[in-house]
Amino acid sequence: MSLRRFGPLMAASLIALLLLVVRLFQVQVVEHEVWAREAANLSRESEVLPYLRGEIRDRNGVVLAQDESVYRLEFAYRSFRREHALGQVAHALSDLHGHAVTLRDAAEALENEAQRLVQLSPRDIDVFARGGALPTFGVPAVSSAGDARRRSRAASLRFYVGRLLALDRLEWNAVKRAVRKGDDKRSYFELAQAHRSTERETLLAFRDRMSHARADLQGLAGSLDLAEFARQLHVDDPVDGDFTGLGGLLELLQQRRESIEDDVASDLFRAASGFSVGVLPPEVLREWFDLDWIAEMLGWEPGRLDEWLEGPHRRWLSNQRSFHAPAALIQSNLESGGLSAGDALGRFLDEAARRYEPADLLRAERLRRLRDGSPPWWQLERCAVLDELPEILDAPWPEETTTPGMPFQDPEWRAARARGDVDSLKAFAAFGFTPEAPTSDWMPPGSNLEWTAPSSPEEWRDHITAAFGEADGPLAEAAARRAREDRVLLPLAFQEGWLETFQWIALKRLEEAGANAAVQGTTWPFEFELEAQERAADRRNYAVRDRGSRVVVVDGAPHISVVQKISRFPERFAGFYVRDVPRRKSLIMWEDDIPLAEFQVGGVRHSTLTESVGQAELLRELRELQRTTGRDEILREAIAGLAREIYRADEQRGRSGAELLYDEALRGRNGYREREGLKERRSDPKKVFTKEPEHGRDLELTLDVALQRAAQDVILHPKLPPDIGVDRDDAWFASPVGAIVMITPDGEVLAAASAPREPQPVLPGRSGQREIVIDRTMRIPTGQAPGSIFKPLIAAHAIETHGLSPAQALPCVDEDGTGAAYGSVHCHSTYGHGSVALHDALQDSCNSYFAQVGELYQDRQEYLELVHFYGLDEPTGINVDGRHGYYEDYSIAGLHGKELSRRQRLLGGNGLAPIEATPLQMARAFAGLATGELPQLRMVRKVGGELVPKVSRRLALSGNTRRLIRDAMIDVCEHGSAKKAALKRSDLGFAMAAKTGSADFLPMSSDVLGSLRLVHPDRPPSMRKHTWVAGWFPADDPQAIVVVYLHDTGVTSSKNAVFVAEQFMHRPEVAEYLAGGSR
Amino acid sequence: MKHLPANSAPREEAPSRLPIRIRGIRWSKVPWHVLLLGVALLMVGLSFQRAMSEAEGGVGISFRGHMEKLLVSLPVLLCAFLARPRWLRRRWWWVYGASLTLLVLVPIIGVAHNQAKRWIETPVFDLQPSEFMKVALIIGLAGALYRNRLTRFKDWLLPLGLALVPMGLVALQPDLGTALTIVPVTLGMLYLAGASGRVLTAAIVCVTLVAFATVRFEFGVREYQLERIDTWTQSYWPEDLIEGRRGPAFHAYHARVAIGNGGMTGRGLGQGIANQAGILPERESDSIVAVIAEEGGWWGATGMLVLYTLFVLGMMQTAVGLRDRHARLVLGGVALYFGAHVFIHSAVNLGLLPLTGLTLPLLSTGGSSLLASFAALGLALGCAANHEAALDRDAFRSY
Repeated sequence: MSLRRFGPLMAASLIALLLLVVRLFQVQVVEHEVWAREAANLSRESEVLPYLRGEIRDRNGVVLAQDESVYRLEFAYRSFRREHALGQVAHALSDLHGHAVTLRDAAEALENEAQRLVQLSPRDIDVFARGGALPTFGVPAVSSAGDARRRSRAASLRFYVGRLLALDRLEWNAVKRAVRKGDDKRSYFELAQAHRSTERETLLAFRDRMSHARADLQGLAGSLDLAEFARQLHVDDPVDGDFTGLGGLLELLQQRRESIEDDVASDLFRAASGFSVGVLPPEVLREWFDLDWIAEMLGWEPGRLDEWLEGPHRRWLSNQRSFHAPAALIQSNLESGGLSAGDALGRFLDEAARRYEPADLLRAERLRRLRDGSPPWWQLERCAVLDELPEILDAPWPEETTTPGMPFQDPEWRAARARGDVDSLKAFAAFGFTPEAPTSDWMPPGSNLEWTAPSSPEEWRDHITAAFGEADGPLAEAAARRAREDRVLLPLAFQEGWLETFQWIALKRLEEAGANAAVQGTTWPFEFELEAQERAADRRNYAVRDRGSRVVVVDGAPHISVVQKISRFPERFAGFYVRDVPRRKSLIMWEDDIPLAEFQVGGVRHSTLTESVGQAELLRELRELQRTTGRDEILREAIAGLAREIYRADEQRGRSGAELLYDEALRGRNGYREREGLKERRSDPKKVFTKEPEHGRDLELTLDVALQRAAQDVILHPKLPPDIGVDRDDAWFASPVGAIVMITPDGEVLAAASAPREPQPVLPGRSGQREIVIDRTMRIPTGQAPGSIFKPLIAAHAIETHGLSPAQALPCVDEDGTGAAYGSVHCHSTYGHGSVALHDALQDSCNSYFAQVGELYQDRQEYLELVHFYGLDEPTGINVDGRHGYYEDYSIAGLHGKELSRRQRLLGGNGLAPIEATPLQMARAFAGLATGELPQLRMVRKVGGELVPKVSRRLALSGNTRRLIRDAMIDVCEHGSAKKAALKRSDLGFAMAAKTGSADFLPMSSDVLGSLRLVHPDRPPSMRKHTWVAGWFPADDPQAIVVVYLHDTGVTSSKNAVFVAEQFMHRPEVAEYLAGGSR
Repeated sequence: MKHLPANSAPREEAPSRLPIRIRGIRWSKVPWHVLLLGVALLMVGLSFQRAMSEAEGGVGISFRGHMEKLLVSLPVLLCAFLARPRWLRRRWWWVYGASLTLLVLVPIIGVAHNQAKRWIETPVFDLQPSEFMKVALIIGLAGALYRNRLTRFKDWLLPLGLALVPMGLVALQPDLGTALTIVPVTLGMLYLAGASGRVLTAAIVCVTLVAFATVRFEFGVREYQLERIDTWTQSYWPEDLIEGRRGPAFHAYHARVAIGNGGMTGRGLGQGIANQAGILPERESDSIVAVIAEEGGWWGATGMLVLYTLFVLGMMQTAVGLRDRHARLVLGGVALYFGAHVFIHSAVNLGLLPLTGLTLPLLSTGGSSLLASFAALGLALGCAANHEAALDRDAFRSY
């Protein structure tokens, strides 16, 4: 023995060293990026730090809306079954008996069953594991071939028994050591007592502990909104009523358990087959696939498999229609400019075809896609399920199938695509690929499959509308609505057609295999290949753990007692968790659950699908950067920047009102934190990168909460006018529709209230506006002329621009016995006012006078200049800089188009059609009349502490003119059409300059007439009217402008609107405002 | 004729019956370079074990426990060093038999961990007889092959029997990793003893074919072992391993992540993900090379492997210079023991071999592993340094 013998061994050692070094180089250097990325993902933890959305306050600093952390109660079934006595007992019994024991059944005998379980000995469980009987539980012996899963069930049983004993890790290890040493005849309970490091637990104490576990759940059930939990689980109410009490809670937890099992079953199917179980309808799965192995793996009883199969296909179809199709529509950007219809359609088809691709691709294909991107639809060769069925199923597959492939595999389709022939594709959509109905020659006995595809574009339209209408969510509704538009119909027709075709082709392939099987003497249902089942078995434990760990929301706003209970005693409520989540809260409420000034403050929403899809690219970029190995400042800043831009799943955005108008300012920017190493353990500041969130800026609205409340109170709950011998429309007061606005002379909106606040029943004969809840301070839902409150405006303008002389008297006489009139415009005074000058005409609201004023305006253009003068044809300014937040109507359709007729000019002088206006527009106009400056209205005063600039324009109205008009309007309250209301100086303590107005709306109906209390029933009103009061106060030193609007009443303004105005003007909040109580 | 004085006749030293002796150590013959290399490896191991126990993921890893085992093992090193070669030559079957007895007792009194019954509980730590069996096999084979040139068929029976019996018992535990290491030690020692290279090559090919057939036809192989082999064949490439990381390839995945994450220069002592996240199973024993590779980088891992190879080559080179056949066989066997371990341990973690639990001697923690490693090292050092005259023909034979 010399070097001759040792030499080769030395050489072999060196070769081995070389091999290892080369392999090390391959892994550590060549593949370093890959593994470093994996390591980074393991060791690096990042979180987005949410910002707080800015507060919204009123002008006095009262907070109207703010972000707050609220508690949300969540439930994770895995923790419940592992940590809660009821879960432990139920699952231990399920393992013992080999079938699911419900939580309810386990709860009924919890103490007894738990006691029996812990009195099992290790030897008993070993016997059980080997197939022996357990007489105490009535579990029979089985042959070794009879129940292959006994060993794993025994292991699971040991686990639950151990948990029931509430031993810590060291104590349980001591028990296991004792068992290993042969002490296996004593019960686990006795073993636990022998090795417990704390005080021994007697059997009685153990039973008490079980009893308390049930009592705790009972107490919790009593405090929860179980209906909310049922909604979160998408569970229908039980046949015999709601889910209540402990029984209800257990039923819901059981539903959750079963839904997890369903999900696990779906996971197992997917692991075995490579595609989702939902792509095929349940009847096909039942007839053609042997799924008993899934039932066996999950310990399901017969019948449970069928229950599971009902759900996935329904959800898959709904998912396609409510999510994937709309997302594909968005991504294909059908509405954008610059894209041809063919290109947009092609993009949609790319997305649609992606749904049919195999999820598990060959490695080479995956690498190629990483490099080159996903191929377009017409290059896709393989269709999941169809092309993989032969490999998945242990079935005698035909050599060549006679069934055509999917459309994207069809040569004619590909040729049409190569030609760019969109019309041909449309023809295909309507007729080309719609297959014939399947024949039933080879259908298994009892099958009842039927497909009759639509055969015309109209049938397709109806089919798609119905299909998308049945899918979940507002997106599906939008898609169904849009399906009536042809440009969306075609892509959706492809989607639906491919769905139908796919189902038909799958069945045909299975039928052909079935025919083969019949010839070869084998049978269906077809089994999965053994390898496929083993793949699923590998996946099982992970799937159970994963699905069971997913939380569901039990209650979005649990009672504080629930929060305290679970926070203080988490071990008694295992599985239930309390979590902080941000929520936008309205702090000032109006009548229980309606926020005050809801329209003005606005609301928030989560991101829409369009916004989420639009951020997909950013998200991809962020994930890519997060996986990058190594970190420098630039990369960290880039990641933090992206994290700030991307919306969080729970992030709220403005939906309407100030929340929307100033969404950018309110939103702030998310922060970002990244830690290296395990959370809670790594505290080295060098290893933590933090970018703090930038919280949103606060808004100060112009609103005064007190005045807003007063306005809402008056318009929503107006008191009946006094019985003073005037006509009354009590029905309107019982169900008011209208608005009250109050602004400052420089345009700040102090209050803006609308009625109704909730949909009301429509009154007989009246408009349907009672059913509609909108912001009537700035909307014109129907014809909405201002009526006589327009008269001061036209009078002042006519003085300045059309030479109207205030002193000149104009006639208001009955010339033909039909009543006082001018032209076709009748005055409300039957016998006329005689000759009347401006002051008296305003005071008494003479229609004839103002018809003549209106006639001074020669044409449509002059009327346009008039309305523009007062800003009635433009936005009031509450939507700042052209941004959107408030939905405001401002264009006057009647003044565009044809030239005005004489009658229209006469009516226009009286503020009737074609003139229209919103209460806010009128308030703005009166502010201009009162001060000579027409302000831009503002709903927001400050943003982040900075004042929103005031903007106004000087009106060409002389002081004299304005004084003339003002004096006349004071007399309206003192002596004129508003005299019956307490709006006089003696009533208010100051003079108010106001004008009443009644604008004819619609002809009187018999129902409305019958509901009126008329002083002179023989002279019934012939028209229903909108009635107004508009003015400012104090008259000589305007502090506020107020407009009251009543929609569709049966009497004139002097009989209803003035009394509503009186109620508002006499509110203490108004007096306090005048006294300087508001900034 | 002149006679020698009666008291001047050469007196043969009375043979000692003790297995160890201190006198007779030729300190100049101690392969100090091997010892130094061994100590260096030990120091490397201690550094990493300490870093592991202090790392944030080091729950359950005790540097103190490792030191205690080390201290317990030092006397074993000394005893093995002082073991008398003659005693080992003559009484090899005592050592072998005692180890085999322990191995036989495992199924009877042993305890199971992770579905394998390999340990016998003692107050200090759980003994793993298979570890001692490896060293006892070296002693046994050396004893059996000392006078055996393997020239005839029947010359093979005893050595093969000595190897196959414990191999079978170990495989039944099951402990494929240990069984695997017995193969190169046995074949190597047979080669060193004079077996024909061609015959051995043929034997290796047959064994490989048998192993392949065993796996292919699932004969005598347990479910989880088959699963490991399947996992191994499907986990060579990164994307395949990443995809299967949540299943049976969990351990292989995390080992590969740790190794790959090291790059050229490593993450620094105690700074690797294997230590920080604490996810890599058995990183203090069966996957320590992954920790070394991650924290030391390619340079560090290669350096360790070079150190280890020098350690092995040093033993072989020392053996070449020995005249005593038995000592050469023992030293050669010990070199093969260490060499097989480092190769299999590293290859498993690098995905070159199916996953099996095997420690890296002198670096990994584990009471039995340390005891056996120290015993082996002590034997190697002692055989080189412990001279006892032997006047058999081998003393004069040149090869």
